[in-house]
Amino acid sequence: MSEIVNQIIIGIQMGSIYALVALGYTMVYGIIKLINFAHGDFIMVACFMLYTFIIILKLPAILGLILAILITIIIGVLTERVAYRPLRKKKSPTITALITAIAVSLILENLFQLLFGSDSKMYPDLIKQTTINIGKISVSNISLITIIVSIVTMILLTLFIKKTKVGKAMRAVSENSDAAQLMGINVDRTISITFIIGTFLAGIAAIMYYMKYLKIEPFLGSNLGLYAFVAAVVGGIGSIPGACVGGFLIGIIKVLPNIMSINSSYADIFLFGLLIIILIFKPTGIFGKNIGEKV
Amino acid sequence: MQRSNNSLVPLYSRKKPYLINLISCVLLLVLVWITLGADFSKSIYVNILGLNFRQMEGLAFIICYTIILAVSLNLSTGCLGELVLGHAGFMAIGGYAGAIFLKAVSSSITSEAINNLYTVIALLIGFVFAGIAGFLVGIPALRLRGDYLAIITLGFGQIIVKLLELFKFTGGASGLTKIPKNQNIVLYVLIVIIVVLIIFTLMRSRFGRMILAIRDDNIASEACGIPVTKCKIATFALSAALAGIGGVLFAQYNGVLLPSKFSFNYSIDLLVIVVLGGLGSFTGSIVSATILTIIPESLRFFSDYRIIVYSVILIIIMITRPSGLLGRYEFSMTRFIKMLPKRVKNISKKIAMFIKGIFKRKSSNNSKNGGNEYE
Repeated sequence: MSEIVNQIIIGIQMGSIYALVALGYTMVYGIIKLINFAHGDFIMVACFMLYTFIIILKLPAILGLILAILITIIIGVLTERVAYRPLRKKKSPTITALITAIAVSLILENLFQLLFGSDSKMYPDLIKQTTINIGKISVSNISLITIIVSIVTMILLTLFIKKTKVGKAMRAVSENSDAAQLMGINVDRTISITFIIGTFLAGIAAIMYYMKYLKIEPFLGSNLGLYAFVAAVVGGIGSIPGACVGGFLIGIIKVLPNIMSINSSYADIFLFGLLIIILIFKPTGIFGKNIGEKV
Repeated sequence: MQRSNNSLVPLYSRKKPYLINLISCVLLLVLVWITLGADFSKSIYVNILGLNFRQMEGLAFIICYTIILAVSLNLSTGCLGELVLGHAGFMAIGGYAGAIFLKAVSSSITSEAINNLYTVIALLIGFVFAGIAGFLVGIPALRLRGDYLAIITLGFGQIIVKLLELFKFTGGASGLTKIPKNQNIVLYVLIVIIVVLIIFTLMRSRFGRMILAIRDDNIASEACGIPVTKCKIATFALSAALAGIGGVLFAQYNGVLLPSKFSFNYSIDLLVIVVLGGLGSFTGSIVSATILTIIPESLRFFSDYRIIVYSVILIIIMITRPSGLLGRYEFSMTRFIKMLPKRVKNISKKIAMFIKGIFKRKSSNNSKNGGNEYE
């Protein structure tokens, strides 16, 4: 029993990382109706920046974290400017935008492979890992930090979107960008801000990932991005609570094979099976109908 | 709204184009047989692009199955307008189905002819199995909006790879080995021709025009009485089935099937080929499948940067020319031949003018000179 609880805690920890990434997907999709395949790779970029600043350049950890997140944000905004904006201006069909997003993702992955090599990089703990025992259940401090930070981030994000003026603008643009423009909202700037927030969340997710796995490689983004994307779709793409719920759900599904003690390859089968079933019966996802929350 | 491409409407008399196409196909087969298939071809072989005969032969096989895969992907992505991110999954199903059959009968392969016969049966098996898979995936996926089909096919591709790694009869992660090979290039090219023929005739038919109508405007075509979902599922299943044929050829050429080969990345490689060639242009797919197979082989130093360069090209094309390099253009032998006399006439006229011009200049020079002499 305690083993199951431990596994579920690990699942929730992974789930909170997926949820943070899924939020990035869902926000970008909500506002420009584009599945940003490059989003997973922003996390990879952030991880490599952390590695560069903290391990190679030996900067203090806090400075490294801030710089890494900043650079990720710059890359995210740059991607939007260079690749996605020209397409949006031409009102290209979805397929064109999707192919462009895939191309951006491939560029980032292969660029970092050229720069850092394709082998995975190992590094020591960022903060000292300790285990807290409650009865038979043991929780590592990193799990706790990850879960708490991501929940706080989600709450702050929800407040930001509901309460601030910029959040209101984002909701307006996602509802109807032409009408929003007529109301005097700067659509391009709002979309840029969405990308900034999305990549900022990716940066936080990257820190969590960096602390948990202690190993990075240039292609980590594609898998992580895929799972997070499934989370976003299962929860209902475009919906913020949906992304959070989907993320935790995916995290728990990922540890299901460990609980049932079967081959861990089954995790992927469960995952994509769930995705296909949900898409068949409720294509908009669990929280799909919740248009009011759409961003 | 764009008018449907002229090349899809028969322009000339009915029988002549068939004859011309038949003759050109036969000529192509003979050419392939002379250069690669026959026993004496090694002796007449010349070194092109720094590749030796074996490399050239290998490339020819790879080009053959890549063309089939690209053309079939183009059917669903280019003509139907649905982004498919799991084409390699259908290829894997067809390839494994065909390969399992071939392994079962491998002991009874005694001669070349029997091997070819088994290849054809394996192709049919691959076709059917991949087609069924396409049908099953297509039913739920195609009722949804565009983005979701991409996701479902992506998920499907991932599941297939994982399942192939788990099952015993597919050999697990180490794959199927010792699949009887068939390296008869003429047969390969013949199959390519048949596949391309099927797709071409399909796209020129009433059904093909329905598909194009659905791509151009889903709602309008439904209003015109086109059974949109049925058409979509049929096209999607056909595209998957043809990918299965590509998979069987792949298995027969390599003799080995590894699940990792059919990953997301391979689907993306195929997508790049289709997009570069032109969404909806089969000529484009064939040309770009050929070029994108040859370039990485002949320029080894380029392979590290290959994907980066591809992706940058892809983005530039998407921004500047979203329909791909050739758009919806199709090469037509009939049109080519019909235009040939005109072109030859034009060129010969130009040459004649050029020569006349030279003579005129000379004569005028002469007269000038003559004039000068008199003065």
